[in-house]
Amino acid sequence: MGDPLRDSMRASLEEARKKEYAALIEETKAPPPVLKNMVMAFLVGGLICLIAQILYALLVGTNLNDKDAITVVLLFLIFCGSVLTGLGVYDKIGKVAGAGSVVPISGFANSVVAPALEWKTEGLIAGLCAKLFSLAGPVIVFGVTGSVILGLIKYLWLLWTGGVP
Amino acid sequence: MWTQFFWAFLVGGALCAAAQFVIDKTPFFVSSAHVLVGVVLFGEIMGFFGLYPRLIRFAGMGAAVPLSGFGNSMMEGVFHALKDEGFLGIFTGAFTAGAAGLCAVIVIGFFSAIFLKPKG
Repeated sequence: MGDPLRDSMRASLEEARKKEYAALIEETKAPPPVLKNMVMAFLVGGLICLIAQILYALLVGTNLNDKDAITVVLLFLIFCGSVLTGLGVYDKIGKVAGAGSVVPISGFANSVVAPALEWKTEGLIAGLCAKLFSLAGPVIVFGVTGSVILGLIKYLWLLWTGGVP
Repeated sequence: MWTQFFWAFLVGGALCAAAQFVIDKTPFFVSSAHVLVGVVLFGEIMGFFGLYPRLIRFAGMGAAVPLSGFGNSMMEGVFHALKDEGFLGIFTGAFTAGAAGLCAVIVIGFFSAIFLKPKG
């Protein structure tokens, strides 16, 4: 092995080169076309919600009540998001739509199915099932924790105001 | 009824566009998990102040379909259970309200991942 001084000099040179390269990339990287991305997200996200609203209007005419109709529409969107992810269509939509395909609940389904498919070859338990939650896990953790914390705040508020149930 | 179609499109689109704006304006890389976490927390906070149920009444699926609607329904579930069961309701409400969505995502996601093949 070479002498340690030379090694450390080489390492620091490497480091400096990397920094320079990163700075160069930062400089030449075009800023994202913010307005165009927003318009595409608006159109695609709005369209998904519009389709959901049409389905809802059709369902509410039957013997379903308000809440059940919303649930059925959400289940349908989850189904569509999952299957379209498996067929490779959802990722193509996502490339154009950005957040427009992520924020609706079909995007949540996509975030469940996509990593599971990708890690399928690692086996059913260690691959597919474990990776079902690699993106959805944080969402569930923050969602549940957030609602419990806010629920506690509400409870303390009720204690304070004497409105405890 | 026709106005609600219009508002569903507008509100749903606006939520997505706002998320896209945050993604593009954040200096570091934002993954879809980050976006979804942010949107859910947004929905919960709006639900906490009672604003989100109003948005749903007004824009219908335009507010219920984005994941903030999921956050809001968990928040509403906690409040509801808090009223019915007292303190313990804080711990049961979120999953009770989110049950249909979570169950569907897990089961449908599981079977789609089994029966379909990865693309690309």
